[in-house]
Amino acid sequence: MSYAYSTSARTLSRRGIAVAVVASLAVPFCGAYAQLGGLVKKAKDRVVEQQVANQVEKRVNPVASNPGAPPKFDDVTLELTNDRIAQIIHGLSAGRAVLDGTNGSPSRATLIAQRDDAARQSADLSQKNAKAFEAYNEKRDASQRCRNDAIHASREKRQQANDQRAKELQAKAMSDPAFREKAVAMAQKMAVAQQKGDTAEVRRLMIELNGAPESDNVDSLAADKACGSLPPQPAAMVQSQKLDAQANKLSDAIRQLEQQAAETEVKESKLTERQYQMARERIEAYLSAMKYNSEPGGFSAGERQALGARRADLEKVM
Amino acid sequence: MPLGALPGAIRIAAIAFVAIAATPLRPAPDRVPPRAALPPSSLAVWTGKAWREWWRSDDAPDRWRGPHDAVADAVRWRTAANGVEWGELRLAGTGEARRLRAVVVRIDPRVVRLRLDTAFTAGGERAAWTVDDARPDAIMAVNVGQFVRTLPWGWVVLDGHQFLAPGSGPLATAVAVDSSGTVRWIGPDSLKDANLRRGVVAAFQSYPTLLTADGEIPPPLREPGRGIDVEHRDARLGIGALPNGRLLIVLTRFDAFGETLGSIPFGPTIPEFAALMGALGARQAVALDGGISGQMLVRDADGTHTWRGLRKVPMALVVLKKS
Repeated sequence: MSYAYSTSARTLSRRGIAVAVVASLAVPFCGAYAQLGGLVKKAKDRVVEQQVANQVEKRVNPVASNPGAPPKFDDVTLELTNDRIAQIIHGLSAGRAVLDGTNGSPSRATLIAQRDDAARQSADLSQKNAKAFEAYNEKRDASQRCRNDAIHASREKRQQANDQRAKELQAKAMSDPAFREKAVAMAQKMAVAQQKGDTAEVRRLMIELNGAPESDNVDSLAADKACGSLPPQPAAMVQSQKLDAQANKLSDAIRQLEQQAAETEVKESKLTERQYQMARERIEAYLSAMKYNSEPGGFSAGERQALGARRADLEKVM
Repeated sequence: MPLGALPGAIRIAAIAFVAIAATPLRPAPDRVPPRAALPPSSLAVWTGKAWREWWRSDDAPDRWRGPHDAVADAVRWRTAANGVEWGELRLAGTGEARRLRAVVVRIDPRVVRLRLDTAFTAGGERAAWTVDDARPDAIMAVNVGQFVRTLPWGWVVLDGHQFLAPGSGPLATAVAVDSSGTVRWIGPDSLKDANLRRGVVAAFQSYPTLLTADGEIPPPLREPGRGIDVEHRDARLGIGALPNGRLLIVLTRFDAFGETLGSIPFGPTIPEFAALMGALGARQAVALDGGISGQMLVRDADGTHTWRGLRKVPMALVVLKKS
């Protein structure tokens, strides 16, 4: 007994020692490894971060930094040579002709005048009839509130009636075998009609089962009954809205004409759209800088010379 | 029953099942490698002590789930007025974008009033708005939308009336303000829904969409050849929505010699700019007319801060005190 106990005790004790040794070795070792690994990683991260930061620093502060230097010319950003500027002026002139209505359509100036005239007339009507418009709006809002309430009440009432009828039909189907059979047969017929896409037959069967459906505008009719119809708009208001619609239409026409002019500019310049838009934007930047007597940045010496030579022509057509 | 009691094949299946079940679920990866690569580029932000690279075109996320700490922390916010804060951050990109500054504005539309102002020359021949025309009580003003020659592109609602009809395009986004001051972001297909247009007092449309509603970068911005020029560098301007309903407006400027050359249209690519909006915390965003059009004004206790453009524009978003 004691031996057995003793063996067991020794075994346990050996196991205990082994566990303790493993634990005592493993824990600090793992801890040290983790700490060392963390330090190595942090140091590596710092080195990488520093390298990235140095590269960025070199990029940000190059030795011979020239902020006004031209951009890198490529397929999109073309150098503005004499020939290219001539092409662009040709494109701009063609676009301007579209805006001036030389292709037979009304000019932008005409469309703007018509639009502004319509907007002015509308504003005049609104101003002269302000009190009548305000009174109408108040009446309309009150009527709308009344109608919303009436429509909601009518819908609720119908929903309750429908729920009640559904309950009654369910009860009838439970208690009346003949009705149940009829309903099943009807459902089968309906399924067949639906499969065939025969909506008229589906509707007929529905009426046979449930009776004629209510009219679609039953809630609106209930609202009319409770609140009366919407008050009629004052004539001046109708006229003002027509004028607003006309002004909107003319604004859209102006935008379409401008779009057409822009497309013509690109086409006639013989550049791609991206090349043209980039060149146009750079020319605008150049003209703006010159107008305010500041040094135009982002242009080569050749470009400055070519743009300077055609500045007056560009200002005329831009 | 313990696994050891099961016959061979069933046991293997059971072990496999347990192993699969025990494997923690990982969120779907945000990066999908097999596709055409964006042109090589990177973006770093000045943290105040060092440059920290935070975006690379070859490791660009497809979705921004939240702000990037280094970028968001780099902005020192200043209060312009109740509901309007602004700040700046320095960025370093590739090529012409090696020195950039981004002006960032946060607007809480619930505590300010947003309106659209338009300006044209007398005959309506030219767009005529610049930041110098911003009304004197404006806390902030910025050009919005896009335009071909004079009139803004796409849908425009001024003072509750539709001024211009909606435009269409797969990457067009409309930004609409309703009578309660809530800002609605309306995608290209949803503009047909009259309910979404109801109650709108001011609205404009712009393109391209930079981030969709859940911070996702639209696929045409993730690789070349899908209708968006992912290589072109330009000064950029964009508007975004932060998760708490605030608006985020970002304007990039060329940052050599301070603001003197700020209006030069050198800047990030569209994918880089989308990343910047995402890194600043926007969940959805759309580009506005940048390039030589981009211009902004902020008024705070120190005075008026102006970032001018080189072109007059037809329309501006103006932030006013709520009356």
